Amino acid sequence: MPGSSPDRIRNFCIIAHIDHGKSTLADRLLEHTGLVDSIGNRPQLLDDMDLERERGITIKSHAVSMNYHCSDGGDYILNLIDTPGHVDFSYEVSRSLAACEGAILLVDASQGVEAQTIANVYLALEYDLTLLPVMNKIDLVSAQPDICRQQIVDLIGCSPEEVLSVSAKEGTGVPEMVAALINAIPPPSVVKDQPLQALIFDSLFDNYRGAIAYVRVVSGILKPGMTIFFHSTGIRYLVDEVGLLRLERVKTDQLGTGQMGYVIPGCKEVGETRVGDTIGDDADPLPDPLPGYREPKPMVFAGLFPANAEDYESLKDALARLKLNDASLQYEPETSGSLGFGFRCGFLGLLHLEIVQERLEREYDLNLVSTVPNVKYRVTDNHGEVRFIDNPAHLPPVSNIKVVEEPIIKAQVVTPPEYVGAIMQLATERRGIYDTTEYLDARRAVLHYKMPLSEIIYDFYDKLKSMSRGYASFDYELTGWEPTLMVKLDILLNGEIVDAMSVLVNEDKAYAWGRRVVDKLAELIPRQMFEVAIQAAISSRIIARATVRAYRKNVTAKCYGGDVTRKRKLLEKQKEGKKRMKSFGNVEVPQEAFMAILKSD
Amino acid sequence: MNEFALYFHYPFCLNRCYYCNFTSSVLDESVAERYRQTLIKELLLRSDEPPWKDGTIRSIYIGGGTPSLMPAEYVNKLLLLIRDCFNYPPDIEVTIEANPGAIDAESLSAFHEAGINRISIGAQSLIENELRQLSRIHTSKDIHAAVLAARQAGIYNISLDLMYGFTGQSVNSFTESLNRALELDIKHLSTYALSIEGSTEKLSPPQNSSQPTPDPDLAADQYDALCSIMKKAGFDHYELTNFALSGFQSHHNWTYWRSIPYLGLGVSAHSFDGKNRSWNIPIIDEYNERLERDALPQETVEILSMENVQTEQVYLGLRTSDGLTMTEFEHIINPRELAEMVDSGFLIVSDGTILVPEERWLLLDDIVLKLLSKCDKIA
Repeated sequence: MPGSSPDRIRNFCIIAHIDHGKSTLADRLLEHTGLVDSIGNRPQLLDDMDLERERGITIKSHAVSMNYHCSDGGDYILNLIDTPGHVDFSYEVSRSLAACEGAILLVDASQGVEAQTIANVYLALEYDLTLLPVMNKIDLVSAQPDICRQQIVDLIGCSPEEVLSVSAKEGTGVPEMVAALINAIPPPSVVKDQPLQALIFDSLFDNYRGAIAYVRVVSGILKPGMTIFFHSTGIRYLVDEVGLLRLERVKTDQLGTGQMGYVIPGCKEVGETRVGDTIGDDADPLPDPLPGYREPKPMVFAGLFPANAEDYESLKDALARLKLNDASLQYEPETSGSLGFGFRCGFLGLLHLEIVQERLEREYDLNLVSTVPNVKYRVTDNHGEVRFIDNPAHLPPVSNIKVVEEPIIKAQVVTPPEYVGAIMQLATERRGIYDTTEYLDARRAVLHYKMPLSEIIYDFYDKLKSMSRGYASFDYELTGWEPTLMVKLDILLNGEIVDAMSVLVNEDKAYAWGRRVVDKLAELIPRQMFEVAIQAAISSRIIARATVRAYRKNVTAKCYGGDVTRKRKLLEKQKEGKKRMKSFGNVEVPQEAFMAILKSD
Repeated sequence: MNEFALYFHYPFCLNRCYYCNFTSSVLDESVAERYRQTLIKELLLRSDEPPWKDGTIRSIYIGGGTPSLMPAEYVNKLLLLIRDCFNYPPDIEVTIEANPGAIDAESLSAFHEAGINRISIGAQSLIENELRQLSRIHTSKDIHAAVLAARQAGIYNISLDLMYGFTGQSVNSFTESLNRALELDIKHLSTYALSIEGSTEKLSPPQNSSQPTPDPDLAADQYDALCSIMKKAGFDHYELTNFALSGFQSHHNWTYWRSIPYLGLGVSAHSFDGKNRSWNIPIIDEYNERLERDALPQETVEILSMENVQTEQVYLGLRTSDGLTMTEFEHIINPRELAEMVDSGFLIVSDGTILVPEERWLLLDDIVLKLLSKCDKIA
């Protein structure tokens, strides 16, 4: 096998802000190293989910091994991990980084350094990665390479000459970049004679083979027939197969130190190959796992319920399968008075929620209703007992509560200076507390705010994008907890509380929230046989109300010349329409209403 | 099967109404002549086929289109041929549809002589500006004239079609149309609320008229007025859209609502043989060509299961004032929804019969969907 000794291996990833061309650069690398002849009309080759191609984003990490014959005469193995770009997926990024020695820092020459670029650089430095700075899209008329180069120099302290220029779209500069990569990024370090340690940086479930873990072998050798164990669970497995990740899996005799590849441990149980976990040799175990593994921390919680109660088991199975591919997804059974049996799920953010819901609906053919998402609160009762509440239904009676604390974030917004005013106003509306402003250069300001997490989970990112014509970018990290005045706001339909629509909301914002939700529901709930009264209430106090009048006519009037079939088809259509509805007493609510009430106009 | 109703479709009009959902085209005499021949051919082919062969006719309906544009001698020939093909009892209901702007006393007399004993006049409205707005070619004067001419020709069983629920029409103007219609001493009234749906949407109303888009609330108000006026006038509201003086309920319409077999002839015509539904191809040229090759012009046969037939009977039966016999349909009805709807006045159960009260008929689709909610499919 060419380059099988560790000094011929380069493990790297590409870090970039969303839309800066990461997946396109990955496509060019696959071509340049000869792994594929031509990407042709299948761009974003590594993004194999339909959803990824449609949205033009990477949701899961993807790994690929490329053989490369360098002009220095050596044969190398280049292992690339393509990582997600959205702020919701920073944990996925962190796992990929932990498996690499270096990273291509890719910056769009027409956009410059953005919030995600900065956040990823900090993350990469945390993992001691060697950065290879590259400007992309230099073919664009709007490219400003000089300004962009200076921003990169300021950010990572390299010399201007070290910043490479490529056009991933056209392929220019890619061969030079590969050569620079082999030079700049160090090979995997080897601790001689140390037993097996391998990091799981991704995993997926194969219907025929069971769980498949994508690993980086840090020390030792991984091969079929050996007994391994996972640190987090202690469970032992007999290795079935190992191999390299080309575009398909390619079986090999072993995975050596420094190598990236896959291992099939023969576990049929979904959920055992935990992303971030360490694999050890059962015959020669090391006591400690590899550093860098963190339990993923969901930020946003919502209930997911099958629209048809009989799909509960299918949803349970689908979540278990998704969980294998998505370490950050958490869920536990939940029962709702209005929606029946479902699951309380934890997500990294609202995009993550949307993606999970969409994948469940598409890939598992489920019809789902999602409740209003919320953050987790820390509630201390009068006896001093502390509880974390991620479900409005579990909030203790107000009289028993001593204090409620909410998660606080440190947010950084990178924006052209002309939008600073508008963004400050938005941040203030969202209870943001201003910290500082720095200027990266004349075109780019960084605003630092302290904000409650709950204020950014709905539409903050969308608002920020639209008010800055897409230029502003945003990133955040959790810093702690602060007391907050919070109330539980209920929504009632014809006098019945729809528990799935209850929210925990800051007291000062309750009235506006109630008014908005009530109005939105009045818009979304179609007229039906009965009048529908929509109310928002805090405890038993009604704070907003709207009415959907009963309609008086819904009949396909005439049987045109005996065409009964046509009439029946119209009825069928109506029946289909009702399937997208959820009944609450005698009120029918379109499923979309649950998500739509979150979005402001 | 012995008894069935017979329907002929004549798809030609003097102009095309934008809201019309029937297969129809503007009259081209040479195409119409060819069609009349192929229509006869279909009659002859079908009369030799099971299950229609040697059957007995319950009623005949010639619809369209504007069948009153048919030459009288052709109508005569058609009815004579039916006598040859099937058992044709002497006193059955034989209806022709007429457009007030496309009918004259002479052909009405000839129709009557041929055996037509009922006429359905597509009046739509008796208010001038509404007729213009609906781009009808006739005036209210024409309607009066057509009714008088029919009666003079010996056709006493006269039905009018009226439309409601379109923009520009108020409750008052619809009431006015109704009163004028009643003054004409009609025996039967069919009403329908204008609903633009399916392929009708592709046609747009004429530029110079305000667009009559349906308003469901207006239609509901007009429907309430319709029910009370017709009740006062002594009419029986025997089906959602139909009113008749005692003894003048349309026999032909009942075949549809009671799932009695009917044979439909002509382009896009629908048939029901008691088990399955079928319909003819909807394109006139193709229909002609098919028959000229001695082939049947059927496009689709829809095989219905027993449960399908019964669920159809539920939503057709609930359209009528007779309702449904509870015991026959108990197994497909959702008992919880039934109880709830009886409680809230959407249904009445008495003497083992389920009925939709007149004032709730306009919500029939919802009622049926709820009632049949335990069925996987409506039919």
